[in-house]
Amino acid sequence: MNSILYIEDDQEIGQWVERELVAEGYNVSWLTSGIDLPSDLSKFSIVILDVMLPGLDGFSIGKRIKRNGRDIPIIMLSARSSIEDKLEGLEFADDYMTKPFHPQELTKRIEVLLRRFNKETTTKRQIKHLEIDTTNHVITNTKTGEEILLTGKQHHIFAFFLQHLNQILTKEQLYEGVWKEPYIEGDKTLMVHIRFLREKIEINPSKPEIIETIRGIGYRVKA
Amino acid sequence: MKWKWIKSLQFKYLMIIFLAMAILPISVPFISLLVYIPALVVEDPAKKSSFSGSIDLEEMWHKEAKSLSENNEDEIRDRLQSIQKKHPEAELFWVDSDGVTRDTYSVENKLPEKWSSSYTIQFMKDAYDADPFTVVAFFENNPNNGFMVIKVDRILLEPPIQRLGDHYTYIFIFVNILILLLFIFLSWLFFKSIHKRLLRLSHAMENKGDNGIPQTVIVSKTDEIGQLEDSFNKMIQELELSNQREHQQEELRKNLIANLSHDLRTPLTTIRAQLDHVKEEVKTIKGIEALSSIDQKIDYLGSLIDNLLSYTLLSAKKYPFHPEKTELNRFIRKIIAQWYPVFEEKNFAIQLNTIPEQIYWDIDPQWMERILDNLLQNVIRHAAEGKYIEISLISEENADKLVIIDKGKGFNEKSEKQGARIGLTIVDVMVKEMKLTWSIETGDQGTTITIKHHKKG
Repeated sequence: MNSILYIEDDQEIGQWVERELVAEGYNVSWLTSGIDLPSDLSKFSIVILDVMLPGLDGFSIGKRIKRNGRDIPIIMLSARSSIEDKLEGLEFADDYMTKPFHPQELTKRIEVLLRRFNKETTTKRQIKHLEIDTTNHVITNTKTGEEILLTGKQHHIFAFFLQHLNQILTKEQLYEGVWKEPYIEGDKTLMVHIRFLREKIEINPSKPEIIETIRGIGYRVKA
Repeated sequence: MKWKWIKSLQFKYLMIIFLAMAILPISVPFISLLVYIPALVVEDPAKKSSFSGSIDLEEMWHKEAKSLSENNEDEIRDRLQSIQKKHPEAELFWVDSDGVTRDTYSVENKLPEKWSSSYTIQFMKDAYDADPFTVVAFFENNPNNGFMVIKVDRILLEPPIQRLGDHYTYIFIFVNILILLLFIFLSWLFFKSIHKRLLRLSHAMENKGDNGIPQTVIVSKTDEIGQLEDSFNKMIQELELSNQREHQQEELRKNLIANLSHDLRTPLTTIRAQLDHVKEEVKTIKGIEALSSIDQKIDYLGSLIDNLLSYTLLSAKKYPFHPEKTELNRFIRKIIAQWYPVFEEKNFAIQLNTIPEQIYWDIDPQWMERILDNLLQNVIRHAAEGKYIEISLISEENADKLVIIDKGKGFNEKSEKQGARIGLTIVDVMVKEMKLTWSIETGDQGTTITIKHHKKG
């Protein structure tokens, strides 16, 4: 079970968010200020921070946390909505949400960040007819019971999709995320790789169900 | 303080003029002393002449004539001979009582044997006020006894200074001109120094610092320009102060609005938190509908507050602006990727038309994102019934276009949706600020929004 460190001074909002997150199956440590911040943060998978806090403000707390360890994701959750605040927050934080917010959006964003930081607790994931073991990197076709073997690049691409589950990835984002070099307009490499990947994982590659094409934009893998 | 006027430019200028006026009259005799005295010492023209002057010569000649009037011819000859020895430069001769020319010494012009009265008159007339200087003396003042004549070049009778060569005159004139030039040079230097300092001040005024205000200058002297520099510095300080005040006030205003926005958003969040509690209690369809409407209004209020904050910052030119070269196809794809799920949820048909050519606009991506967010938000809120959104990039000869089309009922229908106005106002300000143009065509069949980027040249 993932633990969340949540710092929020407003009682009503704090209680509400704590309840919502607990309902989603997280372990929540809710503090009303950053003054008594635990010295050991390694047990937390993610930090949710308000900005306007008594004493130390959220920006300072966030920077301090990131100084001690970059591998803990931070979501800023603030009623401060100016672009300057957002930019200041995103200097160190991994996401910035403004109040009023929908709790569902918050939990989605938490999931995205946990995936991005490889902090998912579930090791097995079911997508359509595929069962994916994320720890052992094994993909099984549940219809045939056979393991699907991917090449290095195909695996890279699929892993990138899994990291950004439910997100639409543009051609550029996908190419640059996997190949780590700038995408050149008109490059067919990605398309070719996706085609081969589909041939391996889709039941009917001409009617893909796993890797969805979003026309004109890119691709998406939905959970 | 008492002697401050001494350092003034006016005083210095008057001093130069006064010095010029005072020194020029003195300088003439002074320079002549300076030029001629050494010249007289070096050349000593007095040594070259046996005469001391015309008056002395005349006196001596008359005295000699008087002393010789009783003497006979031999004695006159002896005396004249001895005079001639003493003054070899002089012409001497004497004429007896009969008008006969007797002894002559170093006489150059031919003299008549016998002096007629007309020749005598002619001789006297020619000799009068002429060069050589001629003295005629009668023996014993009696014309019947005859007379003796001495002729000396006038130059030998002049004072020694007159006998110096012309080049000393040139030196004198030259030195005088030099003095004059010296004054011209001095006043030029004086003006030049003023000019230089004024220029320095002018540069200081033009050279603006980071805050758009010139730097202060170092006050060089306590004269008029120094005072000007001092006033300039005071003005700069005041400008800086007022700039600071303005900055502080703007910062205060900005913070006030940001805090106000924050303070409005927090209770909105609380309302949603409480709404969640209530949701569990409400089971009727009407009640659920009402709660969902409240929930939507929370989002609406949130974005309205955000728009108000943005608009205030924009109109105060305090909204951060960092333009950069942005490729539009890629940019639009990224934005639409974010919006796609929202449209998908509302069952929109989504049409995105990017083009293979790269389109570069010089824009702030944050601003452009804000523009698109506002426009797309409007489509979701006010044109959801059309269930259609089309975003196209079009490259034409003169301009690139970004077109957003929906099939809603158009703008005119939205009497109750005034909130859209502030969002569009922000779009308008941002579009213009980024040197783009935009237009809206709206009707009951839908709305087309076109943002244009004119190609240069």
